[in-house]
Amino acid sequence: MIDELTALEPFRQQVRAWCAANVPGGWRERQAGASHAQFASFHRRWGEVLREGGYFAPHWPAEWGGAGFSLMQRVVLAEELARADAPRNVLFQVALYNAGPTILHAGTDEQKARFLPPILDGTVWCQGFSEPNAGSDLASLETRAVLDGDEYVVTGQKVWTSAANEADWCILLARTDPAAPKRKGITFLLMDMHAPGVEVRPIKQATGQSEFGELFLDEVRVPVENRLGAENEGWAVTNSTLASERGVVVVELFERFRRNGIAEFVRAVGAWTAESGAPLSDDDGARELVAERYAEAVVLRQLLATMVPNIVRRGGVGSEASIVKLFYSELLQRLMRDAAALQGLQAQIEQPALMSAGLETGQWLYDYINSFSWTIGGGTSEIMRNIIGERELGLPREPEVA
Amino acid sequence: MTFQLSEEERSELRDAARRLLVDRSTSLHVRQLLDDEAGYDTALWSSIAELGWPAIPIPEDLGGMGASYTDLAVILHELGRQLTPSPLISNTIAARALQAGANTALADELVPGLAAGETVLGVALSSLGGSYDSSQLSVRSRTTSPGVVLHGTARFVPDGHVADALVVAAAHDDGGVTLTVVDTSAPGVAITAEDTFDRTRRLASVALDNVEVAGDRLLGDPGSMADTYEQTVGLGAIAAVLDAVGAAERILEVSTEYAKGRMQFDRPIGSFQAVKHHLANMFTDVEASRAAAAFAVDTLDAGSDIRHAAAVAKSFAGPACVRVASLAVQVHGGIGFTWEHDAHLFLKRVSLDEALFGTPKWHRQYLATALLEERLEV
Repeated sequence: MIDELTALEPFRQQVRAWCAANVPGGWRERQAGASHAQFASFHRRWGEVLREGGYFAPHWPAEWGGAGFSLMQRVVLAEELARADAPRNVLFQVALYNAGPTILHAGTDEQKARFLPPILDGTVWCQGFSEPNAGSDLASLETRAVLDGDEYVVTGQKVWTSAANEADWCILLARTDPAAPKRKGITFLLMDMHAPGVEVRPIKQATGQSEFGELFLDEVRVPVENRLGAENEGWAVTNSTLASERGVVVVELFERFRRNGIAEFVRAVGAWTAESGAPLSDDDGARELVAERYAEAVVLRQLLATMVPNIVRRGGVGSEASIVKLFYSELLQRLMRDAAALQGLQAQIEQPALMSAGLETGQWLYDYINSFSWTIGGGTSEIMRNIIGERELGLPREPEVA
Repeated sequence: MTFQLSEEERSELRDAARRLLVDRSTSLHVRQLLDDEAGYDTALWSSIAELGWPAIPIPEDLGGMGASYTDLAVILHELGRQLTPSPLISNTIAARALQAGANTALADELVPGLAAGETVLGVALSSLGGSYDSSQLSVRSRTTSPGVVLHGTARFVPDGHVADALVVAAAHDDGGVTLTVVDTSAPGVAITAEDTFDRTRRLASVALDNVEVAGDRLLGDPGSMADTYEQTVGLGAIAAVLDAVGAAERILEVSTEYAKGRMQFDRPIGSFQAVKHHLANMFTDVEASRAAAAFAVDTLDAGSDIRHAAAVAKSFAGPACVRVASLAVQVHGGIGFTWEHDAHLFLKRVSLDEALFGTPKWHRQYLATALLEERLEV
């Protein structure tokens, strides 16, 4: 990997120069306490800047208007964006990393021509997968789609839909055959969020913010031509989504964590005073926490350095992604918890939320609470442990409940 | 830049090591050595020496193979896997200390014997209380003409009871650290084997009663060796981590097989999430510890200061490997608590690895100081 990275040095310099010229200065200050509308317009603008720079869709093939970067180029780009403390491109996350790649993989030529160009132009997508009764057990989802002529009539409820308020389109999983085994009766649909019968209600999260919504679907009509893949084959379509991006996402998250999490924690312990009045940096317990979290971060960096070449070699993510996701999210959570605990009562005073700062806003207790979005979202730590146990160690699955 | 074996050669080395040790360092065999006075199989050690493993990281002009620590790491990992008792770690550390010293004549004299596996050279680096902090050394040196006199006791010296000679670290009366080679048969040297829980390695107490050491036995000027001492302890810490990762990997495999085959409530216990998650945590700890060890060995081969990398590896992998071996006992249930089962041997092995060459707590304090004084960039 080192050789490849050396070869990419000119590319890195090019990205670094672009970041220096284009990352909006002082965005952290301006996003403190920003409203949701301000957050969204800020991200639409940032998306445009990335588009002009050619970094909006780094992973997409050039024939579909993407940058067509190699995985190593994407790693370098992610590192440099983090290094420049650029805002994460979160508003278009589902469009670029879930909807787009799935349409590219499973869509017809007509569907690709219809949906892919608008994504590059800034269409916002959301994801309607999870339901109140289908979280970790996603395949048990209950939203129904009934064929009526050349339209599916969709009724049900979706939850944890990020950017639901901003989205124009939704990738949706719905049950078309309730009699079939649960993974065999699911269909993948592309749903217009402006269609009659779609209602969005924001979910207020534990942090007080509303980045997610609930979707209430009441006889929403989705044309058959908006079905991705065959009827009842939606589960396979979902699993085909290029998982290799997950690894790159953690590379970027790690770079941000290193700079804004670990380094800030070290600075904080260096600056804080213990109750005794002595510097906290003289406290053995606090020092031990600093060293432990730092050592874990070095280990994670080494795990990522091992994982990324494996992804390149195999062209897909193995179960390393589960280990890395588990390790990263729990480390993130421990660090935020340690910092909040050491800061004591001062950590308890709520400041205006810093929008767009992702997982490291500098408010330690806020960040601790928010860290659960990573130990739960994208597969809970417990599901990650099941995957590791079953796929990596070959342990038997738990007997299915009849 | 160090010469390294190719990936393929390294993989062959691993296969050869595993074949030999699976054959000659079985559980039965390891157990026969638990009450052996020397504590290791001299015939197996001769075979290891003939295969050239001790020579791997030693330069060719000192009788070695001139390969890398990355290559030697393969062997230390395999020795850990099979719980093999051997003086390889002591010899490796001693060889590097001698090379790092200013006394090239001493290195020329002693390192070839280490490369050939003909001599055993222990390293007496810790204090009476088991500290590796240079400020705590309990052996003292004072300059006499033409050498030094050593006085005091070092405890927890690996292989001390079987060593031909020892590299001894001493706090110099005029300040600094002195490193010398002391023959174990020299007048005033008294060595007592310690009763360690881990019987697959042995520690000894080394009492030095005004032992006179000639000038040509000094690795460098008296009081000038603090840096070499720190780097030497760092290598020991990395070696202990490599051993622990090998042991942890193997006991994870044993535990996984057990969880697949052991039936309770009419199903394999490994299908229960309570057990499966223990094993998944063990796997994550093994993989992360492997990464920690790789980071440290890379730093070693790059010729950089290893104190920091050793501290990272020890801080993380020390306790992580103990967690793995502890959960192994737990996953095995009652059988894992018996003397007959090997789980306790692994737990004791990684437990010693965790404490040897600096506790994680001590290594973390080093990291914390470096971070908070901004000598180490995050």
